[in-house]
Amino acid sequence: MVEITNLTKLFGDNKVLDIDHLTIPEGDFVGLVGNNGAGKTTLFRLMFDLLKRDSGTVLIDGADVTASEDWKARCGVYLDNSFLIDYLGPEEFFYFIGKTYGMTKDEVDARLETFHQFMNGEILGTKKFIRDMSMGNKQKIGIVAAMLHSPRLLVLDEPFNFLDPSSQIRIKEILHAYNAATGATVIISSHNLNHTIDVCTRILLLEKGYIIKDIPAQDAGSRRQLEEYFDITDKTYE
Amino acid sequence: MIAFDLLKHRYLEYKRNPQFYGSTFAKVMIYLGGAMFAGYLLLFGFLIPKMFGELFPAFEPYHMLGKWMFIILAADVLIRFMYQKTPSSNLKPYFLLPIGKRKLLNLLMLGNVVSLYNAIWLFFIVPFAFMTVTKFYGAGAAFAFVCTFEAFIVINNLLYIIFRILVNRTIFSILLPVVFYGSVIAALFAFDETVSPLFITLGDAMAANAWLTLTASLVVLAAVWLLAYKVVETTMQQELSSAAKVEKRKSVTDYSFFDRFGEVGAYMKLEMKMVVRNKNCRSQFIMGCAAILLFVVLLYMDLYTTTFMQSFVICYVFSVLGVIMLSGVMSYEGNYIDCLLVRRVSILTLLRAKYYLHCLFALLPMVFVIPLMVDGQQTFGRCLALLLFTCGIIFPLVLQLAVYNKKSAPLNDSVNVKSSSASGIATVITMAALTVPSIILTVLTIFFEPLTVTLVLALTGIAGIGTSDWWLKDIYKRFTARKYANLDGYRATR
Repeated sequence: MVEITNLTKLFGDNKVLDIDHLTIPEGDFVGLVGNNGAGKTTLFRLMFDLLKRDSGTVLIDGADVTASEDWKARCGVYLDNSFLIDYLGPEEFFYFIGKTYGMTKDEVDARLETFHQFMNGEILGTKKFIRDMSMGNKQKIGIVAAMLHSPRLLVLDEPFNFLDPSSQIRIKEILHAYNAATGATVIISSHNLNHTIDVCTRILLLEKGYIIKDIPAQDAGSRRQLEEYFDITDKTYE
Repeated sequence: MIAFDLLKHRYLEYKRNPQFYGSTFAKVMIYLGGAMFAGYLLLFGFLIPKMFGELFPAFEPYHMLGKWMFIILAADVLIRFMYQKTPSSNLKPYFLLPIGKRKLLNLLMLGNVVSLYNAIWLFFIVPFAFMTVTKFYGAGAAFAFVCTFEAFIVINNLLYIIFRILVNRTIFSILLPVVFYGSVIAALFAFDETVSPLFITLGDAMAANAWLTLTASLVVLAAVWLLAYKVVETTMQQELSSAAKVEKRKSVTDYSFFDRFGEVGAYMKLEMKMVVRNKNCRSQFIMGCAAILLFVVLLYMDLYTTTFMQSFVICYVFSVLGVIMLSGVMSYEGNYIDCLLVRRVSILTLLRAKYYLHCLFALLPMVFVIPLMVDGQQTFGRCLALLLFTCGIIFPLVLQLAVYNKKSAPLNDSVNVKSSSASGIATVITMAALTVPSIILTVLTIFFEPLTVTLVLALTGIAGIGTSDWWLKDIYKRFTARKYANLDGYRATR
């Protein structure tokens, strides 16, 4: 599904990303973890040709993302607020996004129905523009829009941010079910280790632009490895 | 010292402006432009005293400077509207820091006032003052004369802050500077014998009672400073508190008319909603319509008798709305560009939608010019030809800015914006779009029969419209080639 080779990105003289080789097969549920500045968002931006790479290639389904736009129809992405057109109402936004993928209004409505519980009655039918909504609801709109056309590759940057605890659990369930039911590849980044380990099948640990660990999430030792890396094992404070 | 830090931030904000940060060419162009402006001012500073002396032997040059002071100030404020920011730009990061609000606002206003632009006027006034005032009143008076002139420039800067903030809040406030400067200048021309002596006296006082006039101008400066402070403070407070206010609408117009045009229709709908629902886009639309109305009224009143001026104004009637609205093309989209770029050829569809919608908007002037057609001043054929020329030649020219604009423009924020200055190339293209067609029309009108002129305009317009798919694809191709640099700029200015 995704194949990355010799991908590098420099900001000035500072190398912020350097990935020799990474393959993410169809159906994987990958969690990207790392401290601030590790290069998670940069990797996502490079994956979808939103940033100029200094070297290397990103192939989605065998096609270089910079050479064609065919991958766009199969991908769903939500990285931040710049993925929202905030002067639209949520319904208008979903219909617009649906239309860009060739979906009819009825198809969009039917798809939105599956997110009914996640949206919790706070998004549809409110007659508010997106710009007037809370950060949490904006996050929900972004996630739903990315999943609207049932993409084969779904990428979400920190999807648990701004969400209340019950919505965090709900989105975990939705992503897990989506991956299991459709066999789609899902890649998320998160600072929440518990959620990431719970939901992902594979975890990539990024440090200063390098992938330093590639571990199966369900492995009993993976939590320990990550906790040790992030230095969050039980401590006694004087 | 916090004052120094705040002033330094203003300098860094300017220096690191994404429009030219990292681009040596852009920097060279900006510095070259500044140097040329300073050079011209210096030249005027030396030439004008002599010229005034010959043209108005009954007066001293400083009398005439006093007489036309308001014209200088009106030109100065016009330049500021094009390039200068308000002091409250980017104020949010400081607002909750333990810095007194009064101190913060005063320092930000000071940062705005101590701009290089204000100092550049010295290139004009120093030679002028020392050539005209020194010989009568000595170097000290000339120095005070220079200081008084600079005080007027700073007062003008403060008035600009007030006007700009009010205009950003509601576009109808544009009437304030128009009335303020326009009425004095109009009075100067209409009631020359009554009004001119007042301003000549001002020029005389600046030289003869230099220190007293300087003191008086400083008192006025202090009063205007207080007024500007009050406006900035009030507006800032209102804008910050309105951020927490959640709007709920009774009904939302969907513009479903555009649904019939498929994917392009979806983007036309998006464009329409952008214009209607966002304060800054809406203001541009209203300003464009007001400008059309103004030009039509001017033509109707038969104020312009030369072919050149008539050509200029009738061209503006058709092009001004499109030029105003399209000169910021892609800047508003910079706020949600990632959303568009992860979807297939969406930018090309967006460009098509923009073009088609603005061609529809271009029909508006046809309505405005009906009185001129009824009056017999303009023929239907000429107006139709100008409409086609606008859509086929002027719009393709302005839409080139989709390639070069790389700053996100705030959709609604009026005070708390990061940056507002246009790039050099945007200014050049906009000016070309406003002037070149008028020059073409003038030349055609001088050399050819009216029917030939109409046919040439219509046919070139139709050619432009007919090839729109080709040139829109070309713009898209060049936009894609500059995509990464533009994306960096959009992100840096959100």
